Amino acid sequence: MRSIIILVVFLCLAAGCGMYQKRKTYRRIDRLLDSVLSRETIISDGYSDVREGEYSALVSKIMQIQTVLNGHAQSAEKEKEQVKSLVSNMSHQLKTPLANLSLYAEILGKEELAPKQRAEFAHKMCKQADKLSWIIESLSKMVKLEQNIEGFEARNEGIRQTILDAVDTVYEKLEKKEIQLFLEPFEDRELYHNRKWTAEVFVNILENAIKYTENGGFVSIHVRPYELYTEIQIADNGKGIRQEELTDIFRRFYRSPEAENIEGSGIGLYLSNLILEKEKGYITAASEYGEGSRFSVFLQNCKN
Amino acid sequence: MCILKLQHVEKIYGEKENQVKALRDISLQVEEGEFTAIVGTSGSGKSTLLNLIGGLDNPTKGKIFIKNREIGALSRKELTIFRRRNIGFVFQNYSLMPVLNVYDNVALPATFDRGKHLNRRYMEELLRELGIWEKRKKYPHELSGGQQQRAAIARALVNKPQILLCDEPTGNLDSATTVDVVGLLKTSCRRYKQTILMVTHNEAIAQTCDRVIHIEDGRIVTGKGRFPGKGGDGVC
Amino acid sequence: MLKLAWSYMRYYKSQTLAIFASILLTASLLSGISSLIFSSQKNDLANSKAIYGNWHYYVAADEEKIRELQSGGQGGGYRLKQWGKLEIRDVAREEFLIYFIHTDEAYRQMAHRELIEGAFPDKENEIAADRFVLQNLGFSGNLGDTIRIGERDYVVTGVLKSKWAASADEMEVFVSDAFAGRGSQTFLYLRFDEDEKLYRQMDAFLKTYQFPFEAVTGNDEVIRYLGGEAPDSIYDIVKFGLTDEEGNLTYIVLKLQSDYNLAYHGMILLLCLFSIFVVYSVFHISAAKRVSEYGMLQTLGISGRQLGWTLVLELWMLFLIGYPLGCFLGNGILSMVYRKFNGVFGGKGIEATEKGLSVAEQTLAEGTAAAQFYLSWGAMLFGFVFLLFALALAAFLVIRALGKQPLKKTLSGDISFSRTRRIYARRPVNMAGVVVRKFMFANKWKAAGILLSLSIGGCIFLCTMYMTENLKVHAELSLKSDDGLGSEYRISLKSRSLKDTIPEGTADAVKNMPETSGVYATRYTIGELSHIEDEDNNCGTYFQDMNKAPEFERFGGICIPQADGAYRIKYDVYGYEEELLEQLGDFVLEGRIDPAKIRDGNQIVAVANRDGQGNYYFYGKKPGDTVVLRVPRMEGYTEDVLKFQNSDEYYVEQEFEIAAIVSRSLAREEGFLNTGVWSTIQMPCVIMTNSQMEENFGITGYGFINVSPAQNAEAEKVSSQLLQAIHDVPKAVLTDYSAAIRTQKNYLGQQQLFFSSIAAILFVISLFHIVNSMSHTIFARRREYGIIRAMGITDAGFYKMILQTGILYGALTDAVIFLVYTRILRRMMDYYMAHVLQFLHVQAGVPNQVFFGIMVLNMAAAVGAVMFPAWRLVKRNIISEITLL
Repeated sequence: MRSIIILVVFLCLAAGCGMYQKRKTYRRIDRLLDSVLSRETIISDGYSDVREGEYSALVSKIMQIQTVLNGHAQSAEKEKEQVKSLVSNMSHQLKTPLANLSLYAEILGKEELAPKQRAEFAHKMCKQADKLSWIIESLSKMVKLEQNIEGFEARNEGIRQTILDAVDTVYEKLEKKEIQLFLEPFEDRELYHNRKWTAEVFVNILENAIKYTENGGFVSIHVRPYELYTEIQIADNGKGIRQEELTDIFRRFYRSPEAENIEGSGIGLYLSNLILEKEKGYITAASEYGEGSRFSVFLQNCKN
Repeated sequence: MCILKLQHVEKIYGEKENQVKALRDISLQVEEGEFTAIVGTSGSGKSTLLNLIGGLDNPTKGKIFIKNREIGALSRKELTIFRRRNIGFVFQNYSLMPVLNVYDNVALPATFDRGKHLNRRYMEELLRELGIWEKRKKYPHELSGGQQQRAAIARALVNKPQILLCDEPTGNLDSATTVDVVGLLKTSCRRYKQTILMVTHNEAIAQTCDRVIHIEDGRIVTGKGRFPGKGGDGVC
Repeated sequence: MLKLAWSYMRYYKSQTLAIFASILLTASLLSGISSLIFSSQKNDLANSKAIYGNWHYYVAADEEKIRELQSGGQGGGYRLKQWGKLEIRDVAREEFLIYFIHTDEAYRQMAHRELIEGAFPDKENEIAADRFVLQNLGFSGNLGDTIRIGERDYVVTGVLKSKWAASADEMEVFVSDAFAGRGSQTFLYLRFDEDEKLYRQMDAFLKTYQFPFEAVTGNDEVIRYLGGEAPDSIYDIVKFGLTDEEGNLTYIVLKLQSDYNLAYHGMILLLCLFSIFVVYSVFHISAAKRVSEYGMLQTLGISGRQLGWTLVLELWMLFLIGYPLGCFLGNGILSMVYRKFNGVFGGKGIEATEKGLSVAEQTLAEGTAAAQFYLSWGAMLFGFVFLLFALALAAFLVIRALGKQPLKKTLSGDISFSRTRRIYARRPVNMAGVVVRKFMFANKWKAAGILLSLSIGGCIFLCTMYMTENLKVHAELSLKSDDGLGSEYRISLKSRSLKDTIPEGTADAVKNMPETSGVYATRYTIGELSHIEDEDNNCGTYFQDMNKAPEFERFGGICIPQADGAYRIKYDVYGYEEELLEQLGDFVLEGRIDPAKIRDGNQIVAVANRDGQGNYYFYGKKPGDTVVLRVPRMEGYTEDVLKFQNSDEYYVEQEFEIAAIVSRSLAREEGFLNTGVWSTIQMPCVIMTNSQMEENFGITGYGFINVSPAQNAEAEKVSSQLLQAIHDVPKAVLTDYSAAIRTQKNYLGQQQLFFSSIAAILFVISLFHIVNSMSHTIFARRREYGIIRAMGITDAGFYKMILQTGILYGALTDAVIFLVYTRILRRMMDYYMAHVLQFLHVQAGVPNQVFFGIMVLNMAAAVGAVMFPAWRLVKRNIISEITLL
């Protein structure tokens, strides 16, 4: 009998303890979340995130969230700065075609021209207008992509068609510069990507290759399968990229000092990088300055 | 934002006459989300640097800050807990538990913190992401080197650490599997906003990183790698 | 290669030390225990010689043969070391049977009948005898006084050393050559060279002098140590044991023991095996620790054979130093201890096998002289050779095991484990616990092997303890039972007639003495159980020869076939005090002892027979069955009545119900049936209460009385009072066993202490083994533990995990010990003790405290053994652990 009473007392005590602990934990978490909301740094005692136990693990996680949020805030700040520079950059980029356009318009309006010449200028104007629209288009794409307004869907598709689409797009330019395209025969593979956007990536790379390669050079495309990824390597024998710049070329608006007088927005590779990020792929670049460069796009193999 | 900061770190092994200065006066900052390669010949001190950052070893001199916290000021136990919550390790020899299958190997560090409760959904996602979901019941020695290293990466990522330290992760792999492993590191780095420090002696792999730090004789060598001040992001 | 082995030894100091220690320990254990058994057998022999005489055979001879022997000297095929002669000149049948003997010096030496006081008789009317004989003949104690034997007076000239193995009613009186008796019979006592087989020498001797084979009598207690009989071949023994109807395992064991000294050789073999086991397991661990190193050597191109030789050389080097040192150590310690533990080794304790002499008398006979310690060179040499080769074999086994693994595996450590496809983390589990379990049971066979090897020490310890406990109970019961040491004093009658009794008045007087406490007067008569059905046909074969023995002639044989095919068997019939009867309860095999019920229901308690293999039987009868008992009437008693061949009016015949069957009686008569050959065998008897004896058979006098002194009673006073009390009783003698009891109790204590400490030493060796293997299991996984630590387990968590390992190992080892001990070993021990050692009652168990103590110690050892290396691991750098290949 006595032992039963003792047992009951112990049980009550245990239950009480449990309740108290639960309430205490709840209050602590509540306080924690309050400080998160009021954007305070939550280290009160300095080491509560490096203790054993679940509460401490929670604190550590919340701190991580805070850091991420802070990071986001900071990068938003930075973005603002970058948008500013983008505006000035854009105005610079837009200036040339605009100036050209007004010049051509002036020529067309002022003088009497031979129909042949007129047609030529009209063609030139069209080209400039195209360029303008391309720049604006890619800007808006970029913004959309980055803000994830227009999310695109990636799925398992054959890569061959994607590559061919891209080659089709730049074929004219290749012809024009008499650059040989060497497409190594490969077996078609299902890769996780979005055809339209990925073709865009290849186009970007190919256009760069064409842009920085002398007339009569060559561009080659190799497809190499690995266990997890498939590499689509696009190599040229153009002027190449300096070693120091290799890690910078994927930055937004980065323009090599040497390519200042070659037209380009500096967003092509950045955009490509973003697209591949969405497709869980990545891009790397290797180059020997003066010998040529190799860009490799890695896409994830189709998973069953 | 600066997630890792080293101030005048020095590491000396041995006593008196046999002293070996593994690291001399290293100062360094790493940005959040950066994929940094540490390159150097063997014996240059790059692994030592990584171990110091990971809290597996203590510097002889200097301070190391991770997430604005000086890890030298933490007690042994606090450091251990801090490490498992914030830092993931990937070793050259994979260092998987031979007696556990892939799933359990990956789950192991998670159970240290979270006890018995495991986020199984996240586990599956992670394993699928790394392409070892099908192999989850296999034991390490039944896997290829690349698969083992992927399992090791999964294990390093299971606690969602903010910093991933990789010591020659591709050192034992052939070039084909190297591609996979580096790719996974790159994509995971982007997706989870992780900061990765990777020690390697392979320049080609290093070139694919956001940033390359060269170490020779325990010193950071400038001149190679990035020009300081360029691009604007290098300075905190 | 020698150099390589040497440098390995120096490099792995702790491992080398462990191997060395194990060799040292086992060598000292091996040589020590062998020497111990050897010495104890040697001392047994010495004691037997002291008691039964330092001679091997005697043979009846005439003067002619003796002259021939004197002139002939040594013949072919035998070497006679000494011979003496004994002549029986005359016999006097007085109160006791008295032999007048004349002997030569050589005989007296061999039979230890040296002079203590005075001189040997010279004249015709002079005699010398031992004190016991003289006392009972009424000698005053002063030399030169006369005593009367028969019709004549004799002058006592000397006192001789007593003869221990004397018949109760025979007395020897030494006379001079001048004494001419009524007749003469001469016996030659022979002692051969003990280095040769005795039975061969005896055969040659008999052939040389043409003695008939039947004339020879052996000194059995002495020659059984020396190969006095031709042994059967082992093959025959085993074959008989396995194929013959009557043969069984017990037969084999007993026969091997008697013919081939199984205890000694078996023990040496067992110890060798144990040594090998310990050394191998330690060495295996040591080799496993450097597995990767060996792998490296293999990559450098060292062949398996060379590697093997390196290991063998290393082991041999350690062995060559360790073995002699161990022998020295073991023998040294034991030789010191030996003298302190006379009772254990001198063959002086209560032996499980009877020697025909009651323990009491034997104890008195042996005295407390220090036992000699003998080195068993044979065993040491055997152990040396055996271990030398076994170690080489062990080394090659280890190498072969290594060789089986491919090189890469050797370099990267052990991966042999069973792979279940189960994912533990699927369910909420403690992964650290899973890892611990995985480490342990990765390889089920290995785990079982480790657990078994860890539990061996505990098992051996428990077995030894079990044996010791039961030995203690056996010894205590033996002391209490009819061996006579239940009481300090015994009043008995030197008589062969039932007519002589101790009157009730004397018994009452003794009981009423203030100096006495436990006084048990026992009534005695001889009886005959009739209508005994002999199912196993024991009576026919077994008793046929017995019936013809001269000592049973006066009883008309022991076991007589009846007309209806049943048998009539002679039985001792005792009437006990009820109090004494109650004490029989400890010996009950079947039934229940309630003195009042036995008295009122006129029941009896039967003492069971025991066969040579320790099985008890009472002719297929159970409690509740009845037996028919025939007892001579006291009216008209003559010596002839004992033959049970007179007409029925001379006997009382009655049927009794058996109340219980017991294994031993508590007090027994030693003058009637318990003589000669019979006394070496447990003589069965039936027991009832004293009042029943009176009612049924009209017996009022007592056969003998056992007396214990009251507490604080002075020994001198007690014995003088008792002597006074029996002064008027004819033929009554008093025997004082108090010294013997003291000695036996002392021996018992020593025995306990010794066996317990042997057990403890074995246990210490086993703990050493546990610590070594456990720390190995931790170090072997250091890389994995390193990984776990790098993964971020805290030191506390790590310790917890290791602790779990230790506890798990400890608990499982305990479980294995428990199971193996209770399920297998105890049953084997029970069998061994009941049938081979023939303990009285195998009931005592290992005390619970000891049992739990073992469990706890095992656990503590396992935990301690894992925590220490864990602590050392924690101190180490994680990186260096992980990057281990």
